[in-house]
Amino acid sequence: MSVDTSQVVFALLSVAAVWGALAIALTREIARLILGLGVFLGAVAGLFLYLEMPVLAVAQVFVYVGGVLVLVVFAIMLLRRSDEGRPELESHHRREGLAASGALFAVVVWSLWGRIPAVVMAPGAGMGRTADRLLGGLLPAFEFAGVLLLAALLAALTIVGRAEE
Amino acid sequence: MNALVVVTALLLSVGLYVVLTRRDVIAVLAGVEVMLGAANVQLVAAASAWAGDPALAESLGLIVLVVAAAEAAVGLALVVSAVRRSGRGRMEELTEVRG
Repeated sequence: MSVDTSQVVFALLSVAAVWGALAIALTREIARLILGLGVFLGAVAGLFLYLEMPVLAVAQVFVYVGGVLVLVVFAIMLLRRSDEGRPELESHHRREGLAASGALFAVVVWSLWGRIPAVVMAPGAGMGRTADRLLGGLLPAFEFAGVLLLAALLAALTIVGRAEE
Repeated sequence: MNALVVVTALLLSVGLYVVLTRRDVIAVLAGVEVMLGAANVQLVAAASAWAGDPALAESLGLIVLVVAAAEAAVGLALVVSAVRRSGRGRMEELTEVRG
């Protein structure tokens, strides 16, 4: 049985993403949680590339791996005092959490199974057409997203600034 | 694409498990980011197939990514502010809401 290269790549990316998510769910050390989050975010960027969406993959790396992950690291540095020793992460209500997440998994698979056909994107048709969409029909949404980012930045600065008063 | 459906559903459910079971607020935020990432992948795959326009799907995914990043920034700021004021960083300790 021949295996397609793209199937192997997809399998590797999926394993990496699931491993990262499970590390966040199960680890007791904050450093491993950050590592798991980084692996997950990178694997999601890889999945976007697998779906032939390079703009989205690059944005995922810049915004999430380069931005949000660093924000999380800074937040942990600000909140953890040195006399706490090695901080340990704990979990509770594991059975209820497992039941709820299992139910969500079943609902999502049941509702989407067999309904999403594979799409083959024409080579080289990505970035130009994406720019046409963003600056064309989706321009109001694109501009709103920019304003939202600015508002979020100002809100974050205000919230943290007030905490220091 | 059935394999992608299973993978994203698994990631979504793992993210929900993190949100429901973790006691540390930053771990809960990480779980939310896992759910958002999984949902975004599923959204762009479905939009690409159903709309027949992968470029539109990519644009939508980009806007969702921006909104999720804004949510992460504000959420982390709130967490830092709450923990600094109260000195408590666990979900069951942050029970008071004040204006």
